[in-house]
Amino acid sequence: MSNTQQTRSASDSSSTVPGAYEINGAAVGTIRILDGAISTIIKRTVLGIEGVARLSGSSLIDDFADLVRSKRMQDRSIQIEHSDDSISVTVAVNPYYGYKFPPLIAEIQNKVIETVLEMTGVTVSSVNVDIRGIEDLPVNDETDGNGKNEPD
Amino acid sequence: MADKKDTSKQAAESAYKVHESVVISLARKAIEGIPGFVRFSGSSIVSELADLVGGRRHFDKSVVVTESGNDVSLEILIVAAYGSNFAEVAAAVQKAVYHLVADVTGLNIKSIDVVVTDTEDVKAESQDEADVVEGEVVQ
Repeated sequence: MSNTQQTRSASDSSSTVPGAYEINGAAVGTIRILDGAISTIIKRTVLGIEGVARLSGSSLIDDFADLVRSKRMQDRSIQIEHSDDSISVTVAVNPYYGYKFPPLIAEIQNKVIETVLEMTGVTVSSVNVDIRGIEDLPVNDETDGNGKNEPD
Repeated sequence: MADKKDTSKQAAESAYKVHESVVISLARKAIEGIPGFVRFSGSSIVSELADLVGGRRHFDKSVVVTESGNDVSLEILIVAAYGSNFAEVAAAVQKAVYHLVADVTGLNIKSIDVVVTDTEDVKAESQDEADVVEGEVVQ
C-alpha cells in the first residue's frame, strides 16, 4: 500500500515541504527536497559571501570535484541533520586572511538560513560554522610575463 | 489479483491499456518549459531503490511510474532553477502532469510525488523573451 515510503539512505535524506498542487482540496502528492539540493544552495550562498575563500578541503580536489560535477567535496564540507520539521547545518569554510571571524560567521549563518528558507521553505534551526583553515587573499599580479614586475 | 466475478472491473481493464512509457512521455512533455524547471535528474538513487525493491516499478531514470489497475502513481525527479521557489516549481510540475496525464489517458492518478534533487542555473537567459511564440524551433 505505502509505495512512497522514504527509504532513502542517510546521505540522501530529504525534507518534505508544503505547497503541493491540490485537486478539490487534496494534495496530488508530496514535494520532497533532497539534501543534495539544499547542499548546493548552501555552497553557492556561502561561496558568494565576501571573505570566504572556499569550503574546506584541498583546492586541487575541490576543483577536480567541480570539474567532474562530483558531490563528494560538497558532502564532506556541508553536513545536514534532520530533526522534526527543521534541519541543522554544519558548514566547513576557509576564510581569507584579514576578515574578522564573528561578523563573517554571522553573515554566513544569516544568509544560509535566509536563502534556504526562501528557495525551499525548509527551516534551518542552526548553522554551525567550522573554520578549518585560513587562506591568503589571491594576489593580482600573477607574474605571467607582463613585464610589470621590474619597472625600469 | 482482481476478483474474477467482478465483471465491471474486467470490462474496465479490457477497455484499454496504457503503457508506462506513454505515461512517462506525457509527463515529460507536460513538464518541459515550466518556469523554474531546469532538467530531469539522472537519478541513481531511484534506480538503486527500484533494483532493491524490484517488482512493479518501471523507471525511466527520472520519472517513475507505479501502476495498479487503472491507478498510477508517479515520482518525478527534477533539478530546479537556482533562485526559484522549489515548492512552487514542484507544484507547477504536479499540476501540469496531473492534468495532461489524466486528460489524455483517462487513468486515475493516485499521486504525483516530486523530488527536487538539486539546483542549477537556468542555461538560457531569455526571461523577457518567454512571451515569444515557441511554435517554431530554429536550430
